[in-house]
Amino acid sequence: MGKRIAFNEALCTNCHLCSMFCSLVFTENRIYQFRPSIARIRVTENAEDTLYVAHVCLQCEVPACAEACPADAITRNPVTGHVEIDQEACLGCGSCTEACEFDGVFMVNDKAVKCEVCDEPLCVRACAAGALQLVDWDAASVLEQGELYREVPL
Amino acid sequence: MNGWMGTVLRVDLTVGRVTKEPLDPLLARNYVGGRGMAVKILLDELKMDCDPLGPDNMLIFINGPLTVTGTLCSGRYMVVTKSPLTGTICSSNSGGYFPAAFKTAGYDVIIFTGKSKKPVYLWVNDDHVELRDAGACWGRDTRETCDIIRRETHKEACVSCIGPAGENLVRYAAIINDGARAAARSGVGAVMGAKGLKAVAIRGTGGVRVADPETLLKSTVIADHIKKADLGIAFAEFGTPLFVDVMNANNIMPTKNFQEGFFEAGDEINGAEIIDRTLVRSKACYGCALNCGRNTRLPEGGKYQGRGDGPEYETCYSLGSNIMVGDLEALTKMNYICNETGLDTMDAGSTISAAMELYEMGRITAGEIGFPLVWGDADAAIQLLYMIASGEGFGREAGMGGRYVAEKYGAPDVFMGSKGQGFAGYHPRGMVGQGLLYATSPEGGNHTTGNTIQPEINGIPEPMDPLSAEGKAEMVIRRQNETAFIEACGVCLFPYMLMEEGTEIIAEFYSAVTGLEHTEDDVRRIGERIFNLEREFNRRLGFDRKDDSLPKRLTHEPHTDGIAEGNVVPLEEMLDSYYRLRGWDSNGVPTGDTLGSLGIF
Repeated sequence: MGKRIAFNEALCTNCHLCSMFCSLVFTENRIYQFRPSIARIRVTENAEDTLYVAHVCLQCEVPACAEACPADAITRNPVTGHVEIDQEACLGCGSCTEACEFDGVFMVNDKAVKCEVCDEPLCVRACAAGALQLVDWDAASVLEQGELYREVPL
Repeated sequence: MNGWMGTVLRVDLTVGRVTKEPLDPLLARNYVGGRGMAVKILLDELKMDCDPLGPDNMLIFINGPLTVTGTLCSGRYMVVTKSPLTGTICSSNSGGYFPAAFKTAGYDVIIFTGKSKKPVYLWVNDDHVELRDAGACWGRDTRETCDIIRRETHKEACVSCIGPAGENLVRYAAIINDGARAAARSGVGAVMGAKGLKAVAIRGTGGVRVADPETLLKSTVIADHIKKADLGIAFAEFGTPLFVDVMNANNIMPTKNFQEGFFEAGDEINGAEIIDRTLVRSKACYGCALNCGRNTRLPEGGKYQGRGDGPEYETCYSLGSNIMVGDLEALTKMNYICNETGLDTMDAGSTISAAMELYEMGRITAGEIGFPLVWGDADAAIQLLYMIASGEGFGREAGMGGRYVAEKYGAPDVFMGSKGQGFAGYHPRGMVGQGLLYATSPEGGNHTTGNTIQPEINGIPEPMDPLSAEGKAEMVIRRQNETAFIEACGVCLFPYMLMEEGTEIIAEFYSAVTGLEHTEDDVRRIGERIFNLEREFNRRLGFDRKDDSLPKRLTHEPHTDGIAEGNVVPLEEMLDSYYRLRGWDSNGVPTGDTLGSLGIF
């Protein structure tokens, strides 16, 4: 298993800098944009305004998104260990976003997108609160983060 | 365009028509956005002598080219209009999440004109724009309104709205977005209420183009630097209420309607006390690394109940020290009431403190108010806040503002404000430059058209005597010009006003976002242009030197505390040099040469 973006809820301030800077990475045709609606990490809060949660792919060991994909477009990269979506193969059906119980896969321009773990993630760099970290994958911390995502869905 | 979205939305509420037009690039280059672009639009289009609460007034929602650009604290918008409180130009600023939705929906400006026959709200879902019936939320508080409109539109919609205070035309009604952030000052909420516009709800999914993303990445480095500096650490930990300690330590915490400068119960309403008693967690506005926001909740089983944001420092002063309330939970409750009913906490507090002094003087009686109104009586203040918001009894008069009440009850000098707007929480007798700033602010006693804490109290960039007139005119002019530019950009004042190199940084960010190379001097000049244009707006309405005034309490009654004991504000002396350095005549009117050299006409 490779790396993933770990999220520490206790430090989050709900500022959305992560999704702002993430979106800058996915700029097209050299038109640089801050466009949070295409980000691979998205922030929300619970109804009581007591929990702030940044949803980002957990790089699951057995990814439900991949199992649900009718086009087999979602696979694990054998080199990095990250779960990736082949944009050419993606049908845009949304089965993966439905299947992911952690709300870590998003639809952008009728294609499924998710965090595929940048080498030097801008979301981590932009997080002044220190709530995001690039870490080695381990089952225990993924389980904990996943429970938070189930408690506070997008 | 880089930075600007390129589209102006016009909403004629009288006929219910929405139109879009391209943003004039020259207007954007010369006046940037925020209060700059808005005052230019108003000067070109507004019927100047209009009734602020009549259909002819224009209400402008506007962001700036730096909003949602990864630059420091880039989640702000402004509401600009002719104020029903002061009769001047006014521009009220707010953060939260609404400004980001506004900008990413694809608009720089929304201009509201006319008056709707029945209550409506504007629903903007990217390109789709429509006016909708607001029957279900008229009369509701701001939080309920937000919930109702989200249910009627989209769960991702951000809502900016008025509460009962705006509907009832309270002259200092606020516009509240995201349930707790306020474009608070000058009665912008009453203008909205008078137009029959309950709310603006926006969902935005677009992007903001920037010219030079590499330079903008530096923003994250600067943010880290700020977070590690003493002030950054204190700001994130205590929020703006940390200023209670700063002001009290320097004996400039306005107390008992500015009679005094030290509040004995300051320790009970400061940032540390909030952490101990009411703080759920700290919270940031969109795109902000400072997280000064306070997410709070009143403890279960206590006398007062509720949840929300704050109080901010200004409320700790206005509804705390200045009315002698040292009970944090009562103060927090008052803050919630203001946010829910849509009142500016500062002018609410300023009006109540004037009323308390009038009551003490015997000029107004318990019979006229409905109950006694003595210093420090939080429950009486709470009752009065509800009466102000609903326009009930004496609340109707109090809703006209502190100046109105003070004049009506025969003691105009007990109103602590300028041009009809109550002061913010910095006592000018102990920092006289702040007095000059209040007197010359285009919108009256306002702390966001510049602030002199850094130079006068913290000695940044270099120490200056807070009690002397020396160098104050020059310093105030610089702060006012810089602030005008920052606010035109659609970002928060805090990081740029607190950092010594703030102006250099915003010039660099502005250049990187827009691709238009600007130096520090260039942006100061734009700020000067904006400030002069606001002055010109007021001049056309008859405002001049006579209105650049301060209450006698500041200019004639000696200070009571600390090193400033015995001091007063030497206003006339400072005004003379201020006008000269501004290039205005001795009556405070900008000369043709000055306006011409700034490219105004």
